[in-house]
Amino acid sequence: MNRLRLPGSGLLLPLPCLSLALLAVGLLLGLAGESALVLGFMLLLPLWLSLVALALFLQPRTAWRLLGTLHLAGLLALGGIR
Amino acid sequence: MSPLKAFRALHTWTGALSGLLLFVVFCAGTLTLFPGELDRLAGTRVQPTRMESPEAFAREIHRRHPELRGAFSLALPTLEAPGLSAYWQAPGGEWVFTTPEDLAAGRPATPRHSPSEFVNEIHHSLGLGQVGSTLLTMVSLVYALALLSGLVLQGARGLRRLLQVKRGAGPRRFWGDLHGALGLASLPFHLVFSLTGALFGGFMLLVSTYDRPVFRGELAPRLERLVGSALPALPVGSGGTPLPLATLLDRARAAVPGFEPAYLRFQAYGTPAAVQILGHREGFLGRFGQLALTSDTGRLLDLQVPGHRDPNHALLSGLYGLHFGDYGGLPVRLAYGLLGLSGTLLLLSGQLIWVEARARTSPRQARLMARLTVGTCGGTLLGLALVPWIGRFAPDRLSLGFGLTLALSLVAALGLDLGRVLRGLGLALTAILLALALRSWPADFGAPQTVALILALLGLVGALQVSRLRAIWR
Repeated sequence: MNRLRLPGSGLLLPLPCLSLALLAVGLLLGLAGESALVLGFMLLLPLWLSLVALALFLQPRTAWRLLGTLHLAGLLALGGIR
Repeated sequence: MSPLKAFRALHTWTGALSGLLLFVVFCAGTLTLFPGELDRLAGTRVQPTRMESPEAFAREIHRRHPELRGAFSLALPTLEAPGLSAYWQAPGGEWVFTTPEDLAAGRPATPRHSPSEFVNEIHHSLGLGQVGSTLLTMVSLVYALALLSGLVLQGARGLRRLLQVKRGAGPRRFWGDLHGALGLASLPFHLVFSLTGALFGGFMLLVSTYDRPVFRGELAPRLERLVGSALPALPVGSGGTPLPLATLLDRARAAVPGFEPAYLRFQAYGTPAAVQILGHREGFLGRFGQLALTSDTGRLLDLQVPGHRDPNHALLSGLYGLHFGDYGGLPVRLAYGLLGLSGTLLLLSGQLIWVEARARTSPRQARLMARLTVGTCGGTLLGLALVPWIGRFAPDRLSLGFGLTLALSLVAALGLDLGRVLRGLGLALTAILLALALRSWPADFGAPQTVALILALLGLVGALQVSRLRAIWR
């Protein structure tokens, strides 16, 4: 059976990193409330850049798997705090 | 692909995608640091001739414009803008302005088209409204990626070559070194701009992203109170006689020592209602703030002034201060100006490296990028130099004039000999700036005119040295 081919070059990795950063900020806002609105929005970019830096240093396949898992965990957590 | 190769590819493409638009934004942004100077250079800042009290002016506006129902704002005289003026939103949504002189002459309130406001518009949205603002938000994100990848690549060069600029090893090496050193030296500045630029541009996008999934649709209606300057809603006309404006201003100064009012916003002038007083308190990063009082008793309704703000307002105004550099007077503005100019050089050198790297392998791509770079950068500089002139003689044609200059420059760069275009742009820039500097010589020759003169000389040197510049583009 062919193995699932994930985007190999890694150059698309900033996109899932952005959605993961959005998810993380959503979680923060959900927990801290609207008084942390600007703080949450401000943290989005540094969080995104950190994730991109981390993802590009990993093997693309590992990075995609890790990001996928974190997305799932983030979505579950967001659903949980709602 | 190794991590370093991935970072290099990311840097190349994010830089190429955002470089030219960022050049326009950086040039305009540098000018927005000096709004008063720009308007003075254009000669559009009219000195007030009528000394009127804010109270009398507000009463007269209320009498002549009953359709406003007292909902308008006053800009109080300051050192920077010594005239009194009033403004409100016309039925079409456009902001219109009037002064005591206009009111006395019976002239209607009109939108304000000053060179400084136009340059600000270019900086925020390229003059394209919401579309431009959204586009620049995306560009800010791409710019952040370019900074990250650039930092990794520069770090990989080793400690010894971090800030080294080597001459005599070919143009590609020289521009590469200069690009890396400039980028690293001004990295904190660029990080601040990319972070705050993306935040300001994408704020509403983020609000709509999180409104339903996180705040169950309750965020958007409360947003103005959370981060803006909403006037607390009071039942209009249910109280005593409104206090004189001077008394309200004194109450504001007494409520927060060091607070200097600059604007008054009326919920319903002439009736007991809420009055918002906006102003600044020196010694803070985010120096602007506002408070609200009841007009009949002077009771404090809301306080968002430096030193007395909630976390959202405090953080947002701090970020505004960091982005616009208005917290430390002229030295800070000059430092921001120099960093802005170094930013344009960083972007330009990035374009040159891109062209140089492809000159042999993909000459057509390289030629196209070279032409686009000359057209966009030259057109932007020429268009911005023309802004004071257009602002003086046809203020409502600023967008058209700037857009046309940029378009013509692009067409010329794409269709004509690049050397001639470069020389023509340099000479035109010199002539425009020289005329601007010497327009009212010697009566009115100050710092803005001196800067225009220096830039004119730089333009002339550039025009005369085109053959040297061309060596890079071959």
